[in-house]
Amino acid sequence: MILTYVRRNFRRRKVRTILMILALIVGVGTLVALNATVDSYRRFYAGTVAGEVGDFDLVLTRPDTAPNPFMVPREIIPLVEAVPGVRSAAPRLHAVVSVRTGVSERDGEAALVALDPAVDTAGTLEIVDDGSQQADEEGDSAEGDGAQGDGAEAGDEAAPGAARSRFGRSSDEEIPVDMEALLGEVDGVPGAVVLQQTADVLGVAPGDVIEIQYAPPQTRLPGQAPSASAARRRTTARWRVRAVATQRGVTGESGNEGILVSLASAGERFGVPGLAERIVLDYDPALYDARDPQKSAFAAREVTLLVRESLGAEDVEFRMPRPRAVMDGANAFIFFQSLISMYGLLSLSVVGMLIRTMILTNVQEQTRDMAVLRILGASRRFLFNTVAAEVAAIGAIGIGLGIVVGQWVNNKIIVRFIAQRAGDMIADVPLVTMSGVLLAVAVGGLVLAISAWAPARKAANTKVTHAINPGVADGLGLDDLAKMRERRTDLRISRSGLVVLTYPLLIFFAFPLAFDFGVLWVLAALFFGALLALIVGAALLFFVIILPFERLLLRVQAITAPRAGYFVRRTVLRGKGRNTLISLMIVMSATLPSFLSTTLALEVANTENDRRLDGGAPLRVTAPVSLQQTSAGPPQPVEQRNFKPEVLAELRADAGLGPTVALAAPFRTQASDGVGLRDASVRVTATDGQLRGLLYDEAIEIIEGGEAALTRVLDEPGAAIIGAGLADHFGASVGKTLRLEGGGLDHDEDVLVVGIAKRLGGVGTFTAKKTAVWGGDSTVLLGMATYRRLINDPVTGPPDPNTPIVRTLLATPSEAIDEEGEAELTRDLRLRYGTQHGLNIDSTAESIATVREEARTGQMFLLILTALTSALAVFGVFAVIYVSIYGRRAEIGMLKAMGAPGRHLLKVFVGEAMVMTLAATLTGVSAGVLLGYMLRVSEGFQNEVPTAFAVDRIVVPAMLALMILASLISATVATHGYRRRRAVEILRTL
Amino acid sequence: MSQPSAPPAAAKDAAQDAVEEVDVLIRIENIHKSYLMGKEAVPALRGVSLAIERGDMVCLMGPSGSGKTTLLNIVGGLDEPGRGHVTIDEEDVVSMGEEKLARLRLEKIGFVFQTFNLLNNFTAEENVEAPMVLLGALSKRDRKARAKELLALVGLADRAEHFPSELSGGQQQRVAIARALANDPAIVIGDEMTGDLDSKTGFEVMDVVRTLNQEQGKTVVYVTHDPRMAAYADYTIHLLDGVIVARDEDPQRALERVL
Repeated sequence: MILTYVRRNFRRRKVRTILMILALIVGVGTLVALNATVDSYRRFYAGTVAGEVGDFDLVLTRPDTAPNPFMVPREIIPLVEAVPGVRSAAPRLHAVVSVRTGVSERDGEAALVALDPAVDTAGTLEIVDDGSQQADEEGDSAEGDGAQGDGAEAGDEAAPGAARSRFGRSSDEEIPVDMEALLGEVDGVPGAVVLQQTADVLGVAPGDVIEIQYAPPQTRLPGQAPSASAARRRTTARWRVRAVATQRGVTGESGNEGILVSLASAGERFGVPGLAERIVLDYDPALYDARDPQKSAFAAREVTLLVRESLGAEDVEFRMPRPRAVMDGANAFIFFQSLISMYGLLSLSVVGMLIRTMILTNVQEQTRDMAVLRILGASRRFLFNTVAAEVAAIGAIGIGLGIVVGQWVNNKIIVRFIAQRAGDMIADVPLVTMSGVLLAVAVGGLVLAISAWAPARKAANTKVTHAINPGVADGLGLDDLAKMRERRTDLRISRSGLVVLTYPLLIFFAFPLAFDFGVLWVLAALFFGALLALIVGAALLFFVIILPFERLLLRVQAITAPRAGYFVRRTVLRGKGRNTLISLMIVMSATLPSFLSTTLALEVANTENDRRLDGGAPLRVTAPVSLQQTSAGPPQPVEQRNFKPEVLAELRADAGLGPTVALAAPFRTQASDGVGLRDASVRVTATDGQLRGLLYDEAIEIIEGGEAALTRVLDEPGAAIIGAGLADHFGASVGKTLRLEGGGLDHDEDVLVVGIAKRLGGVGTFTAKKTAVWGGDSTVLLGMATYRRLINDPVTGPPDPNTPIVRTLLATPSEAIDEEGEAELTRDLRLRYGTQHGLNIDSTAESIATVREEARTGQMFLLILTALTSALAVFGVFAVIYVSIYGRRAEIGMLKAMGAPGRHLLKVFVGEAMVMTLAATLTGVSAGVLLGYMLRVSEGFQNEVPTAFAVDRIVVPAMLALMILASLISATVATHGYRRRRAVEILRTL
Repeated sequence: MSQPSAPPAAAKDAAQDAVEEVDVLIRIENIHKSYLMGKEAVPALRGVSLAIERGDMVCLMGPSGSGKTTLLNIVGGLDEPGRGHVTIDEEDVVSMGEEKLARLRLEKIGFVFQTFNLLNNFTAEENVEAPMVLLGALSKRDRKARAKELLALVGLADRAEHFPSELSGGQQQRVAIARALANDPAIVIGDEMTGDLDSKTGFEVMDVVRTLNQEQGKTVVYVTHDPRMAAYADYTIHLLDGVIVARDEDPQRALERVL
């Protein structure tokens, strides 16, 4: 009987049923798609990581204390490949080598990666130039070079200018590079693939012959430093460049520096045949399927532990680049996941609200029928089950179709979008997973259950009086009066207590526990909860301004459409409680995207200033990111991490650069007042030039000592500029002295404070913040001579003026260089100094551009999420309008009878819908924008940077447009039937 | 309910006589109307003709399903006949489009329903104002003044700011009457105006309607089941199975008979 009842209900209330099913389809579809997005992004993230740190999970190397720096792959690989979870293992030689090109100015160093192309499939490689173009022009068959010919053949099939091909984990559409042919021998000369940046620096092209000089890794005795004088056997051999390429995940470095050759050719020519410096292992990708990055990393570690066990007594070191990077990046992922969950929750709440409203209306309409059923003997449980069955049937259809739609959206839109962004990093973006489907079913089911509860209870509580005497059915009965007299526990008081307790519970228990134990899912839950509370709290707080917004919009309407406005005003302002829930949902739906988009807009607007204040100067060159640091070797002495004097001189003389200022390597020491009252850890640095004129004007903020301090610190021995916070800590002012602990034993230097700064961008931490002082981050700026004296041990004699102490060079481009030229200069400096000398070149303009580009991508992503939630809001608005119109049939009928034309009714209901949704959206936008500003201003206050005004011009307007569209469509569709029907037809249905 | 005072043939003659009268405001000729009940067409009116003069107060009576409400709706321009002609003030209603008909109702017809159908979010005064807003002929000040005047006319001057939920049934119906008069219509249509009211309140409402008819010359056409309320009319048209079966032209006698 229940089924018959449900079936007839569906037939009688087609529109409502279809609406509920549609909302569920969109809601569940959104959830499935969002869930898949998280999954795809997780893979995307793993792909990014693979590109940065190498497309392998474990790197085995010999420690430098091992007697033999080489491993024997034919002994080790069978052992490790037998370990469950290991997919493949490949031997490599990986060393920094000297390269001769035949043109002495171009000779330099490069990373050599000798790999076995038959088994080493890590990463992807794109051929930029394989010489085929030149060969075609010359009508030559690539000098009889079979390998090159193969490469050309592959290249011919690719689009002109596009990446030719790749090897490794390439997608099916790509043509794999025949690496064995490219690296193979022709006429006794083996082939090499030179990576783009190295090819540019060395000036080599396909066809050129390069000479590589290799020295085996240096070993040392345990407990002893490597001998500087120990002679290293160097072997030289020649390779012919077969192609220039770019890589991702092949070398284990993010750039395109290095030379790839075959392991066989390198082993033979360098006298280490059948040996390897390292073995790279690739694990089963399923290890990374866990949602928790830490869990994934731990799963990978378990495999590594088994690998270690399998190796027994082998003396090897382990490095896990990908698992470690995945784990380290977990915070970013948690934020992303929380954001997605937030959107999902908001979306499904709107669906839940809609279903609840619709089912409640159904129950209200059927009250008399249900009362009759009760008279006939139906139990309350039967009535409850009737409603539950109706919701269950709707749920089964809606959720089922929602999963299909979600899968389609994921496969056709989201996966493509992410794959496009990820490029070559991932070729196997996952489709919807079973866990994602189950989650959608579970959450959708829960939402339905919650939505159906109140209507089902209402149905179950139907009084028989509704059939006998409806007029008095809703009044108080004797039972009700008796219940009212009973004393009951007031749960509201307990709930208030719980609300008050939330804050201390979080502060004293939840946060400390989560942070102490570092449980990622708890941290994620707390983060998500905080974000949810922030949004919900802000929405609730701002709900109060919905009325002023409504009044404002009504005023506008009164001017533009006075007759409709007369009716709209009275309905909107007097419809108490009717639209509160859905208005609140719209407010919340609008708050989150507005908050995020405003944050992004503020970030974009303030990026330039923030970066200028942070970087201090247009260009910043730091030394060194040495190539040697990539191999597992002992840490370098401090001097080796600073600029070599000749490199510094060459750089400063570069024609592309204008004025420069060198900064000494930060020297960590203790500062004190000399009388034992106060001390602090500080970082001391020094400058060799006038900062004014080189740093951006706004990057210099001296609060005491004036501009002269910048000159005095250069000219006066023992002069120092300190931060405002440090000055406050010591109660020091200009003219006072501070004692700094020197580099020698019992070595102190007194410095005279000549200036107190709140900011010296790019030079160090000069701030008013005490936390910087307590954290030992406060910087003291000296002149170079004073600095040398401070770091030098007096016992060893006077400071050596030639000791390299410069770690950073701040520079401006020469006056002749414009904005475009600056980017070119940065690239040029990177090629010339980055590769050969390991210098790191940062450009403020470039970082500004990067942040802006990221913000643009972020905006696009937000727009997609907002569109999805807005699509659901449309259903919410429709539901409210539909129910509202249904409940006001008498009013509509009367207005029509009175002589109100159909277009007037349309205007009235469209007006009502617009006022309601727009006011709620504007309220949400206000809340979101204010939250965004609060966040930025507080961050700015923390970082002592100003905030530039900014408004999001994409997401918020799009959201407003979608809401206007939603109300327009909803009101038009919902009133369509009534507008066409005669007054009597409407009134007859009452 | 009063019994038909004449056989159907006599009633037809009486109706024919009425058509001959001058200054006819509402003229109905050979109206037919059927409703589809499932797949079956059920006739509601079968060749009804009627002429209502300006200033008449006419009552339509008959058992359920006799066609009285259908006739009233056609007279009020709320429904259209399947066949036949209807003119109001010499204007052919049947050929009018929906928009034009709505305009006609707005200007010339006021409605009072059994369930009052007041706008719940509007005060009594605003309810009366609503048709004036729709017509758009008066300024805001004039609208308010007229609404107050009409409320005073129905004895509710002191209830102008009250919402329907704050008024009794009788008061609500009087607001509905005031609203029906808002645009000074020539015709007032009442469908079971006193059906939801007790006798005392019903008489009060009918007193108001009769006063309007007598003092302002409004043509009133109303349906009722209650012979006591029918007694207020100048004459009563009795319907049975979709045809006029009698016209009782002496309401005073009918009232005396009932009382």
